[in-house]
Parts: sequence; C-alpha cells; structure tokens
Amino acid sequence: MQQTAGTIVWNEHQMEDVWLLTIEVPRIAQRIKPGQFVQVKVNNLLDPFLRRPFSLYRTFRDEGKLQLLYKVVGKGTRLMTTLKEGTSIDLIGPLGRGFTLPHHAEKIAVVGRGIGTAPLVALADEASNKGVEVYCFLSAEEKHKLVGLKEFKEMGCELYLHADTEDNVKMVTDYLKKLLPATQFDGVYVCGSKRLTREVHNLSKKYGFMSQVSLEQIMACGHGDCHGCVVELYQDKERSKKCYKRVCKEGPVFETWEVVGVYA
Amino acid sequence: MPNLCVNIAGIKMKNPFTVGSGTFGNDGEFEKFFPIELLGALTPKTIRSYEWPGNPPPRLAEAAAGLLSSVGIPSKSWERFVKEDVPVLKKIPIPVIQSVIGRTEEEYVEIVKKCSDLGVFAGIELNLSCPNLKQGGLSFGSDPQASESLIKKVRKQTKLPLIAKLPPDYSNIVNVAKAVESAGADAIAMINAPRAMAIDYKTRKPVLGNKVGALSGPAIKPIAVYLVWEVYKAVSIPIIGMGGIVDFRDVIEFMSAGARAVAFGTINFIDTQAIPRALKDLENYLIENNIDDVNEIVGCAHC
Repeated sequence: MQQTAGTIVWNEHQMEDVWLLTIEVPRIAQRIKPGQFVQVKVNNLLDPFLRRPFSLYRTFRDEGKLQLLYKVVGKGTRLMTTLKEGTSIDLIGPLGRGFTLPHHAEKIAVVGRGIGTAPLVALADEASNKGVEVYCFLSAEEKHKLVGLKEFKEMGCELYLHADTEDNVKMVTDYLKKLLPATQFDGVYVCGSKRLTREVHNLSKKYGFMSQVSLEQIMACGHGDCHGCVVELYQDKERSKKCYKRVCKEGPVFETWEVVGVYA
Repeated sequence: MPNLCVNIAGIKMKNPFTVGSGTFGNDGEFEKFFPIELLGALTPKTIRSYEWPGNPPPRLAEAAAGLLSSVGIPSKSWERFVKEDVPVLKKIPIPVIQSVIGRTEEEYVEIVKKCSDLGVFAGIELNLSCPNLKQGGLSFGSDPQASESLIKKVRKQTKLPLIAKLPPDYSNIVNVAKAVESAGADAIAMINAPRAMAIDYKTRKPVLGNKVGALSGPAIKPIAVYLVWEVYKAVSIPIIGMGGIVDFRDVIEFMSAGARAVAFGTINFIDTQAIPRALKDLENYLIENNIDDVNEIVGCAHC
C-alpha cells in the first residue's frame, strides 16, 4: 500500500451516469488484486475533503495500467468526470482484502447488480485468465444499465441477465438456482445488492460452496486508521454474536455468512 | 540548520510534530507511509480501561472542508492492549504519549495508573471530552471543578508528564485550562473536535448512527487558533495545538498563537505525506526567515 501519483490515460463516458477511468500507475497496477480498491483524490484541493474509494475494475499489468468504473452520485464523482487525459492523479492503494479464488477452482459464478458488478469484472478477468470457467448473473433496474456485458463476453463467460423492468418477480439468482443441482461451483461472488447476497448465501448453505460479498461504506482513510467505515457483522461461524468490522481493512470482501449470519 | 527541538513538560521532541490520537497508525502499523522518526512524538490511539466497541455505523459524513465523525473511541481490552500494542510501542524510537479516557474519575485513575506502571510511555494525555457519567453527562473538560478534581486524583497515580486534552468550550476553556494547571497538569492539548451533527434532508433524520458526532479538519482551524490564543494568555504550561492542521503554514499559525508543539489529525486520513512535507517546509521557512530556533515563534503573535 502506498500513496502515489498516476497519470490519467483515458476518462470515458460509458452509459447513463457510468464512467470508465484508465490510469497509468505501475506501482499499484502491478500489485492490486480483484476485490481490492484504491482511494482517489479527485483534485489537488481539499474540497471535496475526503478521497473516494473505488474497487478495481480491470488491470493491464504489463502496461502498468488499471481501470476504475465509477457512477456519478455526488460532488466527488461529478468532479471526476472532468479529469483530463495526461493529467496527474493522487492515489492510495492497493487497499483492503480482495476475493479468494481457490487454487483448485474450475468453475465460479459472479452475481452483480448495477455498478456493484464492477469488482466482479476484475475477478472474472483473473479467473478466466487462469482457465477457470466463469458464469455471470447480472441484474439492473433496466436492461441498458447492466454493467460489464462487453467485458464478460470478451472473456467468454456464460451470461444470465435480468432487468427489473422486464420481470419484477424473478431474480437473477433464479437462474443460478436452476443450474445448481447439476453444476458445481467452487465459489460464488456477489456485489451490489443485499437481496442477492441473502439469496447467494442461502444457496451456499444448501449446496456447500464458498460465497463472498464485496461491501461498500463511506470511508475516510481507507487503510484502517480512522475506524469510520465499520459495518456490524457476525463475529464467527459458531456464535450469533455481532461486532464491528472495517470495510476498508477486514473487507471490503467478506464471507456471506459474516453479513447474513449462519442461521439466517 | 535551525533548531526544531521543543520540550513539552520534560518530553523532549526533536521537532514540534505529533499526531492526534486515533488518526494515525492503528493496528500497530506506524510506518505504513513514512519512518516514525520524522515525528517529534507519537500519540497512539486512545485506550480505555475496558473493552469498548465504539458507536454504531454510519460513523462518517463529509462536511465542507472537514469530516463529521462519531467513531466513539473504540478500545480493545487492557489485556489485549498489553499483549498486542505494548510490545510494538516499546520499540518506538521516539517519545510515546499515550492518550486515555474514562467515564468516571475511577476509570481515569485506573487507566492512568496502569499506563504509568508499564514504564513505556513518555507522557499521558487525558482526553477530557468524555461525558462524566456520575455528574449528569457534562464532559469533564467543560467544568473547571470536575477537571480540577480529576487531575488532582490522577496526578497522584503518575510521575509522567500529564497532558490535559480540552474540548473546545468557548464559555469555559480558559477557566478549565487554569484549573488543570493549578491541579498539576503539565501541559494542555487543544482543541478536541467540537460537537456537530448532520441531518439528511431526504429522511429528515440524523445522518450518523450516533446522531451526534464531532467536526474535524480545516473547517475548525480558526476556532482552534483562537482558543489556543486565549489559553496561551491564561496559563504558563505548554500547549500542544491541533484542529485542522494540514501544512506548515498551519503549524506556524498555531505556534504563533501560543502552541509549543502541534498535532496533525484528520489530514492523515487524506494525505499520508502531509507530515513529512510540512516538516521539510517548516525547516525551509525558518531558514528563509532567519529564525534559528522554532521556539522563537511560540506565542509571537501576541507581541
């Protein structure tokens, strides 16, 4: 983990309020793993005061580049859309605990909703490069808001899509449910929805696969010092006791039982 | 080279820089971003005599030029502190000022004695911003009598320099400062973050899980400078100034108002290089202005 300057290679509008930022920053790009994040200083002033945390979207290690997919939600991300090619950007990273991809993995599934799909693209990228088969279950309010379609297709992933506007009753995890009796997954990874996290967790209990979730929380430092980004999670598998865990340090990737509870 | 050494009640700092407790190097990781020797003294996270989970989330909200937070000073148990933190703190090659807090006089007395007996620390900072549970919840540091009584009691527990960290209470801070001085405090740290809150206009409910929090960062700096200015006139013990410091200019401002040392707090969350940069810049400033000794600027705005 270090604070270092990167150079903006490209800052491109993708769709709706979603943008893709490509940064040349070899010292972070060569170390960062799927599920980890970087803290971005959106300008060189102290306004906005805090950095903004973003999960890794993709890395191009040989070129020393990384990509962050961001949604414009407030002052910080609005300012980010004005970042110009060739300018310098101050980053801290890599931060946090990323996804665990088991060594023996042959087949995994990613379950993402909206912009929460971003870190799953990084994971699918790493997995497919290692020859792991990746099934993607993607959900959004509307079909044109589904994230990472092009990337997942390029990686040769099998895609299952769901939009609320087209079907308000079913969930994207219903596709997963249908596959599960016959298909064995070595890990299922979810991000972007509490409902989908609960579904994935329940399926993981029934079928015995490992399941992880990436969480989001407002952060100040991003490296464990301020204790500001805690969420209340289950402490251990045996008891139902809860405790505060830092999203930036113990997470952002947690086991789904930590979030949902073993007995849920 | 100009002299940067300052002396806070016998704590010899090789420069005037320390950190606000709870803003730097948790988990015993004090050298994540720069060598610890760059600091004049280290002030690690505040410890309580008992385990404490801190406040419910959300704990943070961004403010204009600042951070609104209600972390609630979480603390591990004393046993874990001794096992996990003390071995790391023992190896720190600069003075370590341990910050402590309690909810009653008894809890302060207990934690001060325990910390003092470890023989590891160069000084003890008493965070006086905790509500006094036995006196209707008013913080110790808002009440001259409560502060005086508390300092007298903890004074008997330790020979280490005692630093009273004061809340920014406009109406009383000068009286509290005088009270802690007369009760035997060796130095004053100020200001702690002022109480503050935010309400979500959409839900019309408080943003923070604890409802009320405290404001830190550049937004509070002018308040802090003013209060240091007032307290400097009223006491003769040294002041460690803090509240929104981000660079060497702020350091000079606080020292000119009367602080002999300064603490970098919330800025550590945003710019991990703020301290090394400010140290270099302060040195250059002193050279450029022909100031041989950083102590010369302490209180110079009053003359």
